[in-house]
Amino acid sequence: MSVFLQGLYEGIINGSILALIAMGIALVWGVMNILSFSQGEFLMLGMFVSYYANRLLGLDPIVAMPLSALVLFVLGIIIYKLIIARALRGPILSQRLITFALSMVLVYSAQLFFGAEYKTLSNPVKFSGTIDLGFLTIAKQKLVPFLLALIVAGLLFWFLRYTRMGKAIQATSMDRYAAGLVGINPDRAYTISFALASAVAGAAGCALTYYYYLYPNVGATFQLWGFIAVAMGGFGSITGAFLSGLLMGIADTLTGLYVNTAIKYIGVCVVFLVAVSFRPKGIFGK
Amino acid sequence: MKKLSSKRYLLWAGILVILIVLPLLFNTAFSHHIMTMMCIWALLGMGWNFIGGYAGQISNGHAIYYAFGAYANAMLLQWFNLSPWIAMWVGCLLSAGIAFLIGKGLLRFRGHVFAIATMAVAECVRLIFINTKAVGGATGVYIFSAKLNPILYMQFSSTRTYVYLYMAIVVCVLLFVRWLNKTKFCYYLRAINGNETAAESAGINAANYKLLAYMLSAVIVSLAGSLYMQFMLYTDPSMILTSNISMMIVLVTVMGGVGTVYGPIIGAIVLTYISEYTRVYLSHYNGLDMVIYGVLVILIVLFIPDGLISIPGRIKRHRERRHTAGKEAPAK
Amino acid sequence: MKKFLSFFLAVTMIFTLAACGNNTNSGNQNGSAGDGQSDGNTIRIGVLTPLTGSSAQLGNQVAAIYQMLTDVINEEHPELTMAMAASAGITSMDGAKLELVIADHKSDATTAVSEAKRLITEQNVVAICGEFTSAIAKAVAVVTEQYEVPLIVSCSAVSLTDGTNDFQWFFRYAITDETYIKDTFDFMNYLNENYDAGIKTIAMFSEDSEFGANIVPIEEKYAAEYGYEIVEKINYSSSATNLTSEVLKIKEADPDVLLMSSFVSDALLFFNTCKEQKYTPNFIIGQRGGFIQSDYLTAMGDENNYICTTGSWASDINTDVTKELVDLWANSSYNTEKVDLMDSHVKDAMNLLFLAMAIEQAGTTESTALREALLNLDYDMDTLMIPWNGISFNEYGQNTQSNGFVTQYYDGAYHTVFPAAGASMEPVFPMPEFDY
Repeated sequence: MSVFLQGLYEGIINGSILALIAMGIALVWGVMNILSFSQGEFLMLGMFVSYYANRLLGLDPIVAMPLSALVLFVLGIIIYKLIIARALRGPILSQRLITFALSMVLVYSAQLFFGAEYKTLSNPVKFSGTIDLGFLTIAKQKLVPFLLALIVAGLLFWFLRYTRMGKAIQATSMDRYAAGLVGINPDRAYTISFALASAVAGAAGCALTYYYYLYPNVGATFQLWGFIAVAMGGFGSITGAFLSGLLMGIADTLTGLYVNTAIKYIGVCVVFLVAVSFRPKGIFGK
Repeated sequence: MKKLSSKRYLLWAGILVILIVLPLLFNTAFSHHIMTMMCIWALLGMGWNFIGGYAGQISNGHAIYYAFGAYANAMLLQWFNLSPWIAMWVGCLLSAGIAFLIGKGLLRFRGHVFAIATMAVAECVRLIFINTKAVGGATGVYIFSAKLNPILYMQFSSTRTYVYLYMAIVVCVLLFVRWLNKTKFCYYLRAINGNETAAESAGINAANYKLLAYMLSAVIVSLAGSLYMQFMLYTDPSMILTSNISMMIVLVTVMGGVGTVYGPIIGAIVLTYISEYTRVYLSHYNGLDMVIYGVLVILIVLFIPDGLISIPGRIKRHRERRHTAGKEAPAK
Repeated sequence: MKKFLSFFLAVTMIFTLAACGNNTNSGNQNGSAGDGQSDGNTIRIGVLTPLTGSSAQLGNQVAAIYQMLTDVINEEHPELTMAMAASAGITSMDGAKLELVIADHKSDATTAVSEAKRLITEQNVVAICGEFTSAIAKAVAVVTEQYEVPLIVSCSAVSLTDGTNDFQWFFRYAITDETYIKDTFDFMNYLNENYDAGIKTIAMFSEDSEFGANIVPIEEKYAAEYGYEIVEKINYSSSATNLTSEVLKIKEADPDVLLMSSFVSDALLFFNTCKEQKYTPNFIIGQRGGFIQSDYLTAMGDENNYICTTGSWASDINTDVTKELVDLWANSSYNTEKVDLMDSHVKDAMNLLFLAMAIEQAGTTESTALREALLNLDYDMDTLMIPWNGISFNEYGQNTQSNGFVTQYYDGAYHTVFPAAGASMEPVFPMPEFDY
């Protein structure tokens, strides 16, 4: 029983990282209709920001998080202006491939500048340690991704629903031209949402460094599961992405525990395929 | 009219001569390796083009058919001592069958969801392959043996033989694609790609045609897999069944020109060339080769979104525009 | 249509011509002069190693130690006891110099095959060595077999030399998984007999690619033979986003000894996850892999204390030539990262040394003579960095007299703990708890 509880709990925690990546992908997907293959690499860059903040300044990842989000936000704007804005004029397929090629550039640039070796945080982290409840062992540092996912989901929800900019983004995502007619600058809305998505990935990267190693190609696996979470959650739905991320984490851990660890990702894929078979537009898709 | 067609024959004859002469002119195994890989990538691109290009359903998991083709050759040789000349067609049938099952399930999805679902299925197939001992599991399969008859078992000692054989196969598939391109089948697919509802209201059974296109693309990709296996003579899931291969198949087609007959071939030639030579010259700088490779891909896809094949058309259009502009100017 | 075809023609021409036309002068980026021929005074040796991709760090380090070793062989070093060091170059060939042609295989077998063909047919290398995983060695072995060029590797998959393929040009002086794992179980018996360890149960924790998949059946075989009970058998993906269920299962089973075949990334994640679950395995024996990589040790630091791994070389081997090598590397200008010399470097470096010795012995780079020399090498074990029992090959190109040992990490280095004859430290069993 306690193993089951522990598994369930850990599944939710592991799922929240997927949820964080998925929310970024969902935002770009929902607003610009691009399946962004570079989201995993923004996560990787966030991890490197956290790593260097820790190594050079001795900061905890949780402290480095705003910095990482800011760096990635700015990078997001630059990449949008340089590449994505132009790509949006082309067909959907080439948009996707441009983000794929971009991910390749980011991965190998990271190797060029930071080295290919596997790294973990080198300075001791203050926010760590375990709380033993008897039936549940809680690692403090693993609460970070979960809390962050909750906060990001809440903030994004608030931002899109209640702020002027958020409303503009939503309007643009519904109809770019109509939004332009009523005085919304669609390009600006796109820039902000692309940069926001990469900032979310940057913050997620910080949370991930608490227990995960980092190296240039770390984003690829997370990204695949992020995609699946978004598709399962439904077209551009932030809430859907969040919840299906958690669900996938649980499916992963419980398949590993009770079926076989070798095929735990088949378990995740099966959950996804079953979900979309019943709701082809995703659980929360409209 | 007659004059034009005779010119065209001359052109084809010219291409044929060049294809025959090139491997002789650059007679090293490395050049032959590049040419062979160009052929394999061209087949992969042409195969994927049916579902991704004509029918517009972007599959990001075609590596599974590549793997089925390769493993069909290897396993049939190991189990039944079957010659690859036969095994590759068995592999094609197998891939068609699997594509039928997967396509039935997945082709209901649209757009990004279809792409993601194919990625998920490809990941599952990869996990099944590495955990199945009967097909070698993660340790892969070996079919190299000096004892086998090289012609009967398609294990040539000369790399030039591979180049000629694979070029011939590419030309055959190309002729098939060219013929198919003019048939109702491809027009229907394009109609579905353009507007599925409209196509259905015109009496086209969209689901069936998409499934057929998916199966056809699986067959050609599987053929490429079989040829890859005979060329490498060893494979394991980490070589052939990665998400990267699936993405590269899409990239080859899009770079060349999606939904065109010759596009995938041009894409394969250009992409293989860039990837081999950036590596040879730049890999000593810790990843710089892949950065440049990625930047080149971004630039090509960004500035020529319709593929390299659209360049002559663009130039022509540009010239015409200048031409007409030039004509109009004095009139004013 | 016409324009179409002519364009197609032009593109084909340009690229293929350019592709092939450049071949002759490619590969000179490595400081290799010469006109692409192994003439009388330079002997070209192909080095395939991952310079990009996830093993790039190891690949670059191996390339660096190869360059250092080449300098030692090419220059006069009478003060060194190492084989081939005393005189300059290959004396039997008028002091011919070795020249490395280093190529990147990106840890990808298709790339490795392409580069092997380039090295053989355009760079005219006389043999190929470098840093190989077993999967890449299998793919490249096909090429070297077709072109009759010696391939010397130190990866460990048994299937390369168990007769499933009869390679004529494949050589492995280093040991296979079979020996490594037999050592592991002998070590457990040794702990039971001499240290009253009471080991009865084991668990296997293996990653699911080629590396782990080769090891699992051998571990199962020896567990049955030596009478240890396998209480848990975990196969996992080394790129997993988490190892939670894996660790929970190991924690439930709580084996006396945990046998790990892991790479760097997954080993790091495993230990982090263990700490989160407040679990310290009783005792860990790794199967090389990640455990002997410098980035793993840098990341783990003191947390790696008391973890054991099998190996074929350790810096505490008490011979002159080992001490020389450690010194040479520590002061070498090629050692830009200032990493310690490790098992993974030395067993690859040995292959180059053997190759040089074979060329010296054959007096020619002609492939058949070279093959004979590699198979019947005259050697003085005191001049080699790895003190094996001897060198003698079986019909499949496997050295049958090589041996390994078990090391335990303590205070910044691995120390030999088994077999007792070469031990520099008493084994500590069980491991003390992690610092949670």
